[in-house]
Amino acid sequence: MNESISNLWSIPLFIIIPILAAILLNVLYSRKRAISVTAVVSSLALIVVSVLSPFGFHWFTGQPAVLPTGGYTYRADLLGWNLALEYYYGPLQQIAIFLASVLLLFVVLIAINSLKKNTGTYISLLFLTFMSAAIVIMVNDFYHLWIGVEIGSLIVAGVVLATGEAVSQKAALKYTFFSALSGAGLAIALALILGVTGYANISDAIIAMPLNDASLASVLYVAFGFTVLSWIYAGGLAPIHPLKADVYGSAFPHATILLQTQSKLMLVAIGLVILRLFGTLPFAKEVMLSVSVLTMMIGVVMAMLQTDFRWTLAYLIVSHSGLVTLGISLGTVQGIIGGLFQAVNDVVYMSVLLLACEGIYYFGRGTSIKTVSGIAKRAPWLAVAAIIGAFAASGVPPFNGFQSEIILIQASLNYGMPELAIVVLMVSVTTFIALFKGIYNIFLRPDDAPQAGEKQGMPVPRMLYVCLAALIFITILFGVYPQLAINFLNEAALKVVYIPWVP
Amino acid sequence: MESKALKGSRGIIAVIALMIIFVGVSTSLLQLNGNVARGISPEYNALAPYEAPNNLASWVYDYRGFDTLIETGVIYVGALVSVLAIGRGIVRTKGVAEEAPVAQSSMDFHVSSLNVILKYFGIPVIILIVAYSLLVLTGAATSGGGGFQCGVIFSSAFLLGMIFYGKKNPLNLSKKFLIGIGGFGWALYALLGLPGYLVTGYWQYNVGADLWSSGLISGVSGMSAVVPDIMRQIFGDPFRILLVLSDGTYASTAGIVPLINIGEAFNVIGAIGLIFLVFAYGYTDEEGKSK
Amino acid sequence: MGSIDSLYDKVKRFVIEFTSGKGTSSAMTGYMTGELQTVAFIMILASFFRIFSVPLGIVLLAAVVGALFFFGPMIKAMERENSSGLNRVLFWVMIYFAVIIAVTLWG
Repeated sequence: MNESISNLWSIPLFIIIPILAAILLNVLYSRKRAISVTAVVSSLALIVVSVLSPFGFHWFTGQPAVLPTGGYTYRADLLGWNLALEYYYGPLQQIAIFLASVLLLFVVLIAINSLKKNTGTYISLLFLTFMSAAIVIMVNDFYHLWIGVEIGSLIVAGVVLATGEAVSQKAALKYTFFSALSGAGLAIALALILGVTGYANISDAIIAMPLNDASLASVLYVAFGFTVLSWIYAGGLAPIHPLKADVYGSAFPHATILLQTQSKLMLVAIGLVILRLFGTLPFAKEVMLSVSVLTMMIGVVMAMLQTDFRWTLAYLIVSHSGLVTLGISLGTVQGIIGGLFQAVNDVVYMSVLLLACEGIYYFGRGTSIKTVSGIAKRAPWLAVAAIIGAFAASGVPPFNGFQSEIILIQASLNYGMPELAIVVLMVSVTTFIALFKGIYNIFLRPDDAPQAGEKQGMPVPRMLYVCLAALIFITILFGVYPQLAINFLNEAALKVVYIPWVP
Repeated sequence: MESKALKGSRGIIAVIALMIIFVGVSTSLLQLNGNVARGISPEYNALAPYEAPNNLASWVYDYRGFDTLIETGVIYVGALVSVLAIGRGIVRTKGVAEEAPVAQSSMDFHVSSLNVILKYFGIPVIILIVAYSLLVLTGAATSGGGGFQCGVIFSSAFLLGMIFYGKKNPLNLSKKFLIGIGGFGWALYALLGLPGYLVTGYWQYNVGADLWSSGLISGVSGMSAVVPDIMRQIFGDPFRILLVLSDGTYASTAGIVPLINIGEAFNVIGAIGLIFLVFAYGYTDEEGKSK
Repeated sequence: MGSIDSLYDKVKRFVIEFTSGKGTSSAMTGYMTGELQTVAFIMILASFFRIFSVPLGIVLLAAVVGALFFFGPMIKAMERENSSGLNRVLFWVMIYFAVIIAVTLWG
């Protein structure tokens, strides 16, 4: 449980492999074969490293920690002030990074198969998306967290811009405009925390936090406010959700898989940091809870109103981010496990739905429920996948969404807030309606469009079906054996609640 | 995007909200006055004379060296994304009819109307600026300055050349070249972590400075590997200088910091130069292919 | 004293108000369900005030139910406020941030 190793070999690789792959891919630019080889080999390497790696810390640049008694140590399990930048790779990080790298591989395969022209830059941005997610989930340093969030939002803008449409340019511009606001906010929070504690390392800052000093309380509160602001931004929670939904909706659906994975990991990482740093302040959990509840409901209601399947999914992703943060902001062990498990499941079943949406895209008539119909006749397996994804997203038993939502409902009941349980139920029911509104119109409604002379688009790539099958397998696996995932999440939840100075 | 959204009662509410934010933030800043904790910084300062003689360089490239790697990435990605907005790297789906990408037209330059004095004055100024940027770069380990600054100064020379002489300016850097050196710079920075990683297991361990295994600073337990002499020869000693301070004389070395600076400079030149070039002249793929 | 006729008119107006422009059946379903969800959600929010005192929660709940009937379809306003216009989002971010600061600092 308390790893002492401070130079774990795998941690730098999660950052350096994507960086080098991204640089190489960007330089290759339009050389198709070289791009495919580089991208696939690098993402396979990331999967292998994430599976093989043991748990531990990495102190970048090899500076030791300063012992309270004087002297220096390289053992991570001793209490000491870190001179170096600290990353942690534990069970939560393992499952998160493993999933993210598997999704990266899928997304890269689909991008190679379905896109033409100059894919180098685009795929390099996908690798950097993975990198920013990995940074944020592993880092135990406030300053580095800020950099991770900052570079992450820039990369998101790039991935969206690569579609080249006017709507995506608008979305990217708006999103980066707010990145200035929330990035600066996180930097102010960092400055305030650094001011009152003197430590950028989060574990050290928590120990040095002057919680009992009433004269500094308002400094902590303002730092909390700014951190919540950037949490809202990074995860696309309530007031920023229209921008985030635009981003999800206007990127290619397969790219949205990585974008939503990145933002779920950021939600988890920053959420846990807020809990560890400010969880003991009065009102902190209440603020986080109210943001989550508003996000859930507004997101799902807005999803009902959409007439484009991409945008329905985009708002549902936003809404389900609220489920993740609800669990985390409850602050109990059960709640945190539920929130983390929901993040894992959410990433998987939303990927199923997004890939199904990508499949619809290839029939050449877009994804609006007004223009597309009768796809089930032409692609029955795609319809099956979409329906399974919808079942999983709305928490129907044999699939994974059910397992995490039931934990969340139990956690809210145990917390003494039955209203939260009702909200969770409402969200899952409305998710079902919103998704089936789209699925019925697109897949099941008889095709009323003129058939003759219509462009059929391209056949759905076989790779997409392979990826869908793999993701559906994970969906059912976690639905039947939830312990497979929960075992990885227990430790993080216990540590946040009981020994908050260890990540 | 209607500006009506902030008029009338909504505007008043917004102003009240801003005032609340202002009062909250300013009271907290006032409370911070005189209460700033020193935390870890005395430790950094105590070790500073053993590292790069320039305290700033050792903070930015050694203690927080990995932060700076990602910050360098921010510049690189910033250039990548800005140029993507202009048109480099937009992708299309095979066989699906899509909306045509939004095209940007290039800026209109009139080089011919330039004053003769400026035209002849330009080349020496560009030479001087480039020389200054190299001076800043090479002095990074011992004085203020570094890769960022070198890159920015160099690209200001590039911009000056573009304004004075148009596309065929004395520096005449092509897009491909700029993308190449930008990538090379970031990759060099990233890979300079490798020597330390291989010998000690810590990424970006400052091999040349080698404080902890060379016995300069005692009291460390648990450091497993020791840097071999050959590595110290390669990375350390060329930069080793004696630092005479009031509390003693230190044999100080910057280790890999100057090399990192060079990578940083390449990256910034590539990134900012690319932004200048593409924002001024637009981006077309055809030109890239002909070269 | 509303006659059947005027009640019919009222209902008609109510329905027309949130189907203007997008009269397709699937869009209509979305708006109707969205409206119901919003109403239910606001009622749940009102009932949260039972934490402070139960009577306050009941009074607020009653007030909110009255207000919902009075103000008619919420969903159009909801859609407008959640549009991605930069100024609107900026406005709501400011409001949220001010509330967070005010509640935590002086709550």
